[in-house]
Amino acid sequence: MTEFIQLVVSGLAIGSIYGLIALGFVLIYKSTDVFSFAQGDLVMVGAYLGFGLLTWLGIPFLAVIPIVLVLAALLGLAIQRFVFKPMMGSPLLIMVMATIALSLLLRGVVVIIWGTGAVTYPSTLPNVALDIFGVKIATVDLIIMGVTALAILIFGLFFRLTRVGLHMRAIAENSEAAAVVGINANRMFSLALLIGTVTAAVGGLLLANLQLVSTNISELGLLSFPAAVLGGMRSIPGSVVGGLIIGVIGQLATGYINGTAATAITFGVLLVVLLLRPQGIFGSKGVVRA
Amino acid sequence: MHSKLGLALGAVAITAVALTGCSTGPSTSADSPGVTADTISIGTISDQTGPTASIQLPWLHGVQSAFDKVNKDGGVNGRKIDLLSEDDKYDVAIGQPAFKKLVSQTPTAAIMGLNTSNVQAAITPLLKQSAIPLLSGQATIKEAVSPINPYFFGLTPTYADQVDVILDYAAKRVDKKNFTVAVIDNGTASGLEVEDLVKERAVDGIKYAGAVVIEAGAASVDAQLQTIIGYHPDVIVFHGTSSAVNLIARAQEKFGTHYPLIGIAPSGGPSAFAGVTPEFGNLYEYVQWATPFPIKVKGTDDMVAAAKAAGFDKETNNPDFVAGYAGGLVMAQAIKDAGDDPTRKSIRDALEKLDDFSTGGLTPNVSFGPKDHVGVQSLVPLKWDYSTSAFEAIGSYEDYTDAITNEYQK
Amino acid sequence: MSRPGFGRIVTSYRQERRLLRTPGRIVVLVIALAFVFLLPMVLLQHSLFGIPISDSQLLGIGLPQVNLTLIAIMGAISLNLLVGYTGLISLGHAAFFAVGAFAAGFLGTQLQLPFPLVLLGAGVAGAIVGLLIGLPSLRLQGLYLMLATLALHFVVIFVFLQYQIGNFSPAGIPYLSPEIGPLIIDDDQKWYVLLLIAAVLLLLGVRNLLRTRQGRSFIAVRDHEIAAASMGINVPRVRLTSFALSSFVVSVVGALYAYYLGNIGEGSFTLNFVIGYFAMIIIGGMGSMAGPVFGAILWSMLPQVIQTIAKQVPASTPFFGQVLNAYQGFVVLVIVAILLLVILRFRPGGLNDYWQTLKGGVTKWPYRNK
Repeated sequence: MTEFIQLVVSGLAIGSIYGLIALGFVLIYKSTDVFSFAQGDLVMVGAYLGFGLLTWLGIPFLAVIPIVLVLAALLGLAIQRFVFKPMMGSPLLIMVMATIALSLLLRGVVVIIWGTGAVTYPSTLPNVALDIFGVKIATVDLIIMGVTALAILIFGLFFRLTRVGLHMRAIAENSEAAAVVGINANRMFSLALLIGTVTAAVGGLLLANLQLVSTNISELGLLSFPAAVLGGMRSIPGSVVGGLIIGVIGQLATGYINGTAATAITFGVLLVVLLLRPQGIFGSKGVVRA
Repeated sequence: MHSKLGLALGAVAITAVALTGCSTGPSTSADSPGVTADTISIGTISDQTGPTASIQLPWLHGVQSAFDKVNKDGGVNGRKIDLLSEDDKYDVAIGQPAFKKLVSQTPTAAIMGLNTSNVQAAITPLLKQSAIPLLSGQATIKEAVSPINPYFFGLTPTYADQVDVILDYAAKRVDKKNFTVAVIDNGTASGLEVEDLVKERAVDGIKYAGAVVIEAGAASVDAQLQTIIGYHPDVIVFHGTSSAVNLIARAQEKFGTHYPLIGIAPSGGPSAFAGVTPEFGNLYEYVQWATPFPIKVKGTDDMVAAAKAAGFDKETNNPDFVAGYAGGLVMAQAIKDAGDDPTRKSIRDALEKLDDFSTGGLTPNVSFGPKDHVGVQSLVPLKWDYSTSAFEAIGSYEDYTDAITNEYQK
Repeated sequence: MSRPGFGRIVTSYRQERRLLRTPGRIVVLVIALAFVFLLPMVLLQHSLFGIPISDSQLLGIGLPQVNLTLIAIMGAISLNLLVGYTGLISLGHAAFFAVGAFAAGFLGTQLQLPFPLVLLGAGVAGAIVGLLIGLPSLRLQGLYLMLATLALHFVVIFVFLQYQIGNFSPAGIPYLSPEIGPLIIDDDQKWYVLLLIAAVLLLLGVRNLLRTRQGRSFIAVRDHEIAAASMGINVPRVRLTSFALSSFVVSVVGALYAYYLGNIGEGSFTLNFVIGYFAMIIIGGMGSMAGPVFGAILWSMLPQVIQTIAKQVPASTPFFGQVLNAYQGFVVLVIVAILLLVILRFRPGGLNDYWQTLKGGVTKWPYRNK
């Protein structure tokens, strides 16, 4: 039984990161209707930016965090201005391909600057192994789960209570009607991209504490899609829950069956969910039939 | 009127084609492709920009350094070696045209590399019909040496040989003759091959407990470590990337377990040890057949000088670099032995006649023979020293020669 | 008497239906035939009519690359049928290639059935998988088909790996040279002929299909499904047909790919493979016949061209030299990504747009192409 609980706990830890990535992804999708394939690569960029700053400036990890977030925000704005905005309104495939092109571009640039080898952060978050009632967890894992929980809280409050949040929800609901009442759609899209990129960068920084930083990180973005779908493509808390579920399924599949089967099983689950309940757990029916 | 014009043009075009299409323009002399009066072209096929570039690119740099050194020392029998390196990007669809290019488009006298196992599998059958010799660099798959292919020379020990040495060393490391072994691999075809090899050798007191897969791109290996804990192994055989072994070290830190791991040759590299404390990082050792700097042998100084001259001095502590450098020395020797007018066939014959060729101790002595196309017959486990950021060898190549059973060449 | 334009105007329905509508096209066809006939000889002998051409002048391209480009053209055309003409986004391209390779391994290498039968079997297998995945997903929005095919990708690769390990070896599934009657196709020239014929047949087949009622219903469904439905087109059934047809073709191409390479392992089918084909059809111009051809040629040849150019640039050139030499593959990636973005932003019609403008300019000369 402890084995099962251990797997679930490990799954929740890694799932928090999937959730964080999925959160940014769903936010962008909800606001701009763009399915961004570049989310995983933005996570990678965040991790590498952290690495670059740490090695260049030689300051501790905590000091680097705000700088990376600012840089990520700028990157998000740049993406909105140069990639998304000119193509607003284009058919789905065009937008998707644009994000794929963006992801290729990011990957190529990262390798040209930092090479193909795996690198590691010289300074990281405190990492102490803990044993709670027989379940092993590291402080880094707890920090990650904490950050994700905080993110849900912050975004929940942001969308419910602030005016800007209300405007964003309006745009997500119906961008034309929102524009009619005077909400600046472009500004909202920029904000969505900004938040999406920043959450991705946070994910990257956290991941760099768990493993070596390499271009493989961008593949994690792939797993955020099942997370987003599970949670319902338009629900922010849903995306994080979806991420947690995916993390747990992955760990359980790896633990009880096999590591290779885990990816196939995770996507198999996605397939089944799509066929039986396409709107996911938190989504509302009716947005989905062709 | 226009239709007549069209027809007239058509007739002219067809006549032109018929007249000129039959012209033959034979290229240069076919008996010594890749060889001219003062140069000899040698090709390489390896992954330069694909997923395993971090392991294969240092190899290529090693080959480059070796050839630069040879050229600076006057070349081979008066000819300079011209290196034509092709990138296979870990993909057969790119590796295969690259091979054909090195055979006929930009002909070379011999090829080195094919370090990507899928590409090696696809191309080895083509070697005979193209009659071009190949010296492998970082991988020697079973199908290439069993049955023996007259044109394929595996410099690297096969996976079977590596597993032999690993299990021999494992007994010493856990200080038991009867032990339990588990396998961690990356789930690809070669990983499954390693699983099978270990399973086969689980006889006479060695117990095989099971295998666990760590896929590329995995972010956490807690589940895999838990399964391993369930197996209660004494030692683990590892196949995969440095990122994966790094994840295992971190997981062991978290769980407080201390399972020793011994990896196959292409699975290490200094980055495997980054970010973990020595207590857990040093649980991982791996077997290699090339001796990195600063472990001092006869040939070390020359190698370091050559690396520096080629601009790769930072890579001398990487066994993959040394493997490439040694490969370059072997190839240069074969060309020399082939005489004043080397051809593909004479280089092939020269390779096969190599007996106890010394690379200055950087690798075990290289021997080939009509029935033996695996050149290096030993490996040594390497341990990482955190305080000096360098590898040290546990024993010497001679200590492990007897462990090898040569399974694939029986 | 002067006629407008260099080309000719089609003046009867009979003429419209002909394959070669105007004498201008016949001229073009003859030139194309000459090119196609001479190409392998030029590439293999490195000389044209006795004038030697060096390898770098040919941009480092050889017959093997041309053969792979022909396969890419066929793969791009079949993807375009699905994505460009029917408007369905499927990420399962690599999965269907894998199905073809699997069928070729099972029917060809294991059961040793004759080559044409193997190809047919591969196609049928692909169509079945297409139907299985299409039936439930095609009733949903495009987004869901995309995700479902992404999931299919991983599942198929997993199954392929199990099959490969179980029946062959970790090194991959080997394929023997195909035999068509007494002819054994074992060198690049023979493959060139086979692949060229196959590509031309596919191109003509798809072109004709799009002129039939069935084909036109694909386009109708892509453009406006509600209007299409109101005209009596059974939208889900049309989508399913397109998906099954495209899967059939892609699997056959996958089998050819496997036979050509001679050895396929599970590592050959990655998401990058899928993205590559999407890049091909977008750069070339979706929803057009010539587009996938242009895109496939560009995508397949560009890495080789960049590599050859890189070899001419000495490593000492500031910045470019070092980057180009060390990271060629990634320079190609960045170039392609920028190209994609530029095309998506400014010329969604892709290379085909430029081609049509050029063609129009020539045929309508001396009038402007407006």
